Amino acid sequence: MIDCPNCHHQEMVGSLFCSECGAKLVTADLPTTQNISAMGATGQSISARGVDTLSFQIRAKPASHHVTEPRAAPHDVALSLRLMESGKGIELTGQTEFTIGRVAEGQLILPDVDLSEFQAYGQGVSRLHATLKVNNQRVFITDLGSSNGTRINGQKIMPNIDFPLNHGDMIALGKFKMQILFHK
Amino acid sequence: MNIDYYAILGVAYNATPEEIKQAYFQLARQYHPDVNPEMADSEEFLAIQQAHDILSNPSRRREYDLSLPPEWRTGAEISLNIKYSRSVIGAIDEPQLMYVLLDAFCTANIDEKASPPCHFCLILDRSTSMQGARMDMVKASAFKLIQQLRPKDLISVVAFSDRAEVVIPPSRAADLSKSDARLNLIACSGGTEILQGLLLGVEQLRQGGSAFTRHIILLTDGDTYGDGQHCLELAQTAAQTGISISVLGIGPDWNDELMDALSSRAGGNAMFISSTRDLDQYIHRKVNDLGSIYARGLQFQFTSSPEVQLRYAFRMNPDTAPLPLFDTLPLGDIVYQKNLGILLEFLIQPLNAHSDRITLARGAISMDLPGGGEHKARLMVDLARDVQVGQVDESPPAVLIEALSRLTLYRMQEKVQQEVKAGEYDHATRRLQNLATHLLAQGEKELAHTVLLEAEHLQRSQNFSSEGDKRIKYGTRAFLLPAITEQHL
Repeated sequence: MIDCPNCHHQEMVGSLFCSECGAKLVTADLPTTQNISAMGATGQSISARGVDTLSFQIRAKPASHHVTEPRAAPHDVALSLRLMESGKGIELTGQTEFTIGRVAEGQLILPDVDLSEFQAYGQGVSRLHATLKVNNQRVFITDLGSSNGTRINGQKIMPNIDFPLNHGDMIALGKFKMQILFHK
Repeated sequence: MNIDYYAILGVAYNATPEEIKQAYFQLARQYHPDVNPEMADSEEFLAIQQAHDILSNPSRRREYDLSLPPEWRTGAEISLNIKYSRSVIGAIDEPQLMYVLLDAFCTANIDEKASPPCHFCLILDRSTSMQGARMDMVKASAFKLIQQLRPKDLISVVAFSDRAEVVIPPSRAADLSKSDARLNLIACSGGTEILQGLLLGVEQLRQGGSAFTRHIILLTDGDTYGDGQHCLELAQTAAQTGISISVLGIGPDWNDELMDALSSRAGGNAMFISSTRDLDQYIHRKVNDLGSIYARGLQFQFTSSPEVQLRYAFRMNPDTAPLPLFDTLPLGDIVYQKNLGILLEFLIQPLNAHSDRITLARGAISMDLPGGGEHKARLMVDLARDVQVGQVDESPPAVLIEALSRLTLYRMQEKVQQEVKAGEYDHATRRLQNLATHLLAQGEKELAHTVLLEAEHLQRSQNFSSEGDKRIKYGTRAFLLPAITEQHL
């Protein structure tokens, strides 16, 4: 069985799309490079043929398949976030798990990454919105049941379920957009 | 003048002796004077007898073949492109799926003159609910249809409510006036009994003769009562005699499931009509397609390995429709310069390493080639893959992924319908929301909006809104179309 990375529905071997949520379970027969510019190029060639970028939103292979992405997450993976609106970068180091959100008055648990200075409230970021995890050389994001949801490359993810990330993926917390970058 | 013995037996020119024998036995059982005493004139039977005598004798068959016009012998000029989701099948101890995309394209040069004249039969619902704007729209479209026909084409019109009557018997398009009074006089009253209309429509087409490409366009806005099964049987027998059917449903109340089943059995499809534009466009396209037809009544007859089962079949192009999973799959027609795209989903049961090759479907696609004197042709198809030990980890062809990304959305919609029927409104709502997200991501804003509204409606009132389910169904289906056509531009 294949485990859908989006909704964890069990699909038969050989399925190309999840019958439950419609997420794509396989990679296209095109080079799936991990860097951003190459991704843009492939995206273009696809949309020229009348297909939108949906095909590239879930590029993670199902868990039962052996992962062979060469540059998925190098050994000493370090993460950084690039905030799309301000262009500012935030380095994430020293931990394997980071909560992202904003600090508000009277809040007991504070997020590791505070976005309140970037008009996070107005763009619909929850106080504890999502978690980034580095596990086994892979990077995952988990929506913590936020009010406005989390989207990866435009695709809404299920709350409280780990979703694998690739270098250059676009994360939207509510309307707040940022890009995840992996460094060696 | 040649007598086409192959056509008499209803077999293709490359038929095997076994097939000839079988066809002969079948016809003999039907026409033998002993079995069928009321068939007073036994000419039919004699012809069958003669055809068999010649074709079953190898040397006489060869001699006869040489006397045939060359274009009859070449068979179908169709290139068949086959894409598998995986190049090998993994021998694993769990069930797995395999997708196959068949893409058939006519390689012959267009010969408009050779393509036979068409006979369209319009079957119009004139039940009370059609009164007013709907009937006016239908009449206006009927006039446009008449204008679009070539002088050699035939048209007949039947109207039905609880009973049916002939409005216009088979007539040449050229002989009808642009505002035929008979059409204008159709008055609306009564219920909807589709079988009555279909029976009379099929009769009109038979009267017109079999030299035509015969097509029924059924326009209805209501559900038929109690005669659904008979309608399906009639569609099946009509299809066997080369009559195809498309259904245009108006408004929220027609039975889309029945009409899908009915039309796909007869090589056509059903469409949801929400505006005059939809109706005119559909009819315009249909008339064009049938006017330049290369092969019609394609039927795929096949057998599979015991581990294999065909689980889903869908015509992606040109007339999108789910196909009934019969032993003989009705595929539709092939039109010049248009691809016929069929997507098949096979379920393969757990395999052991002993089998080294699996047949998904082996058989032949039979068809009628109406151009240059009607004759039959056959295309051999063998869908099979080698078996490899262990899991297969490879990427499917991009074409197949594109096709399936769209079909997946259509099938999500099918699941929503099932869930609503079963009363699982929460599931259905969530799935609709997912569907909307995917549609948005693919730039289908309007349809995504409809789907979202429907999700809200479903959550509130635990049912589909009027027309909502049909809008989504035929909307997602229409969305399937560009996937294949654009590749060949």
